[in-house]
Amino acid sequence: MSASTAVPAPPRAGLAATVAWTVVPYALSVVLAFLIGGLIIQLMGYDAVEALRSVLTGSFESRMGMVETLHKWVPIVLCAYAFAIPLATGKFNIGAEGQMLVGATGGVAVGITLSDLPAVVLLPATLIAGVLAGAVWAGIAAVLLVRFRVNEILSTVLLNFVSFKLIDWVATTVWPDAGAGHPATTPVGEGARLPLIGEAPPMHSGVLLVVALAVFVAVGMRFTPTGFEMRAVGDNLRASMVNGVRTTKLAGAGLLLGGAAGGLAGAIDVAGVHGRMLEGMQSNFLLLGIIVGLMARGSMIALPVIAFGIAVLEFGAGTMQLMAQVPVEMVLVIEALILLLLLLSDVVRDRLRRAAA
Amino acid sequence: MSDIPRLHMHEVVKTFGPVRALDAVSLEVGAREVHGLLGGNGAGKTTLMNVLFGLYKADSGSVRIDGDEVTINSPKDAIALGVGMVHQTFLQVETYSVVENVVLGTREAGPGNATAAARERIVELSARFGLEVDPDATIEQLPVGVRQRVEILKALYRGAKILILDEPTTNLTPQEVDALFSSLRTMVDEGMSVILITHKIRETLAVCDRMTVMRDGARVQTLERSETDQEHLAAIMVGESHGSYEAAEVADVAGAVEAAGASADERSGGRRFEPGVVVKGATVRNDHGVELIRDFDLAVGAGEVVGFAGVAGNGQVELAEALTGVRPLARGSLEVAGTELTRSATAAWLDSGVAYVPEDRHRDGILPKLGITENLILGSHRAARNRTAGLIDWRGARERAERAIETFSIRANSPATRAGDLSGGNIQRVILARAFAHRPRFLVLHNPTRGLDIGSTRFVYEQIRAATADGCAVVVISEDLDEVIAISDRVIALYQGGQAGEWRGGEVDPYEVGRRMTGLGKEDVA
Repeated sequence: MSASTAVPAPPRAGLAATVAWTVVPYALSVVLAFLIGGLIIQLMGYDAVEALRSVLTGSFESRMGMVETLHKWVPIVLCAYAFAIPLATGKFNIGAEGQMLVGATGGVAVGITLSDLPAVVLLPATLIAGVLAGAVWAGIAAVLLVRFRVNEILSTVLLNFVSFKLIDWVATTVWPDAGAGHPATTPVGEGARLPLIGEAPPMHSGVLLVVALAVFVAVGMRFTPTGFEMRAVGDNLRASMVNGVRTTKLAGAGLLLGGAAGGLAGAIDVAGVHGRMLEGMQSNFLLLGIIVGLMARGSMIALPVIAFGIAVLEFGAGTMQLMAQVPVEMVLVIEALILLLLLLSDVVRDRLRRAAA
Repeated sequence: MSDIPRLHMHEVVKTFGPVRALDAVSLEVGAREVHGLLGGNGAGKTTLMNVLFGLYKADSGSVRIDGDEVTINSPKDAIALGVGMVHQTFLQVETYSVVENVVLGTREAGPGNATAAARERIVELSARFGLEVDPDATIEQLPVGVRQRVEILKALYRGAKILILDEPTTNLTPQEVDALFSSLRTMVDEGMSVILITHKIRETLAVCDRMTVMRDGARVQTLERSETDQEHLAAIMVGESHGSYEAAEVADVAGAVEAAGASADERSGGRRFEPGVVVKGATVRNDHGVELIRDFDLAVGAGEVVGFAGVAGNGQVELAEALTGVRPLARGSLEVAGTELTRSATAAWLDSGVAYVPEDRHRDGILPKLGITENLILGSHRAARNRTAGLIDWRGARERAERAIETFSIRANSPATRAGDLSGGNIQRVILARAFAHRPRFLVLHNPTRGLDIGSTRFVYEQIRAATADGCAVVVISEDLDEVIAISDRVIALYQGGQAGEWRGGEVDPYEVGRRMTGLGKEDVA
């Protein structure tokens, strides 16, 4: 190719325009959701301004608020990966909470039975055990899918229920802590705990681990051939297959990776937050992960950022109840509104785009 | 014409968003007339007829039938006014009989209680207009040509006096086309009006009394059959500004091939080729597990173009996918340039230089939400040339995409333009660019020019010529018989998954190919 070719370089398609098309719908959806949410709060007879102010600022007004928010962010991000990575290959993993609980089980199994080992060995072993346990749990669904074409939505959802029974058995029979007053295991060894950072209240170092992971995932999706194949399959499975992508294998791999992320969420919460496994630790992270995964719309760069926003709302919910007496569930309503408006914005945007073209 | 025309559409305007699909188009069709509606893709022919049939609502303009102004808001209104339309794709209930399909939706009867009277009337209509069909056959047993007759019967049964046919000859053999045209003549002799939407000049001249040429959503001219010929019509279709040389090319597919560098006559029948692709005893199953293609042998020389002619549904998809490694061979073997590929994964086929231009561009060809860069790299994203240190080299990929956009004249703002936002012709250019980036040794194209304008069609032929010049073996599978004959060194008729005849380029009789691809042997010739 000679440099003298007269054709001008194609315009950069307005990078600013591309960003605007992406960011503006998010901003509008959030603003609108808060307006509608505020209206509902006002109609319910509470002080909407005070309620929304406390939701949004709770995380940023104290060190405690920020640490708690980041501690919530970790499982939300990981459960969002558990949903979004398989989704990139066109598969729906609705089993993040099961994978998280089994990951936590793997973590405590190592953390309790090998509690005497030094931290250098025990901590990585605990986390890796969680990752592997989560991957194996999702792997059951992956094998069923690849070998026997069992629908992954059904298998992952049903495996959640099996995981509830499993941790029930572990927390009440295998390593029960009789004094806990709630089904829980005995604590893991000191060496299995994630190092804490900063003055009280300290942040556990799992947060940094997940930040590093987020960078790794974003780069991997963009630059590795496998990451590209996932995006390609998510866009058009047939065309990817015709062009040599092994789609079934890839779908299985996506489920395994998703399960690994869910398992890590469980192990980090054991090693960083609870120091043990307890029933109910999965909270509503499955749902939040799905919401975040859907909001990210395939972008692994947007995903951790959105997850942080949701973590702020989740922490702010408690503050809101305290300050304005509005029930915490109101936050879930706002989150759902954001998602609905965002999905609606796709339709609006496509219309505008077509009109502009 | 002194008396009132059967149909008069006056200055019809239809816009889709910013696109002016119909720009004050007027059309007059008399009784006892076959009227050709001629134009390239996107000229607005089908849109105009969809307005007449009540599928689209016009923004402005009026429609008069037999002098009375009418309002048509739905196909139901149109049918009540005696307008019938045969679309390119038929809406038929596969498991119902011909009679049941014809009466379905009319007042007389639902399936099961189709009255004897209805059946009698259908038999009478089909005899009167030469629309040969077994009234009691189930639709799924019938070939496309007969299904089309059922569709015409549906319109006649509903009392159509204006019959619209949208590209009716696309999937027909030459014999079926002749039969259809003689039926149309019978209809107009009985006082009906027929509007034939087509982009084939030869057909228009063969059957139409008058013709209206459309271009870019506007009527260009209406002509009597007697005052025009092939060259003249082509010139009008393309537009005067393009000059007479290009106008002559548009006359037919052969013209496009000539422009690409070789005519069918020049393609010597006796050329010898180095061996390229060898298929032995291939057996291929269709999606239902039936062995549709059995013991299929094929040798394509390096630099040779082998064309498969056939009516859709005779194993084209299965053959194309088997030749490209997308669909596994149940038995048999395939080798490209001496490399056996039979048991390999699709990716290995691509690496060996097998490139596939699929029939369904949107379903099998592109990643609609990703950019041109991503689309071009798909399939070679694991190749060494696209990676640095194991990671995909997007900067290099983008540069190559920019070059491809230039070389293949893809109309797009940038390599980041989403493939789904491109037009059909440009999508095909992206797919071709990708195929050629693989440096193909074996190129398989399935209906490569369907739905493309003449410029893009020519471009495809040029690319095929360029590939053969580099010693690439080429298989073209197409339902456009003219295309197959024009670009192939060898023509093979495909019938029910088997090879029903083979001819050298330049020695092909289209009627003979037509007989073979519908399952008739030489001895069946009357």
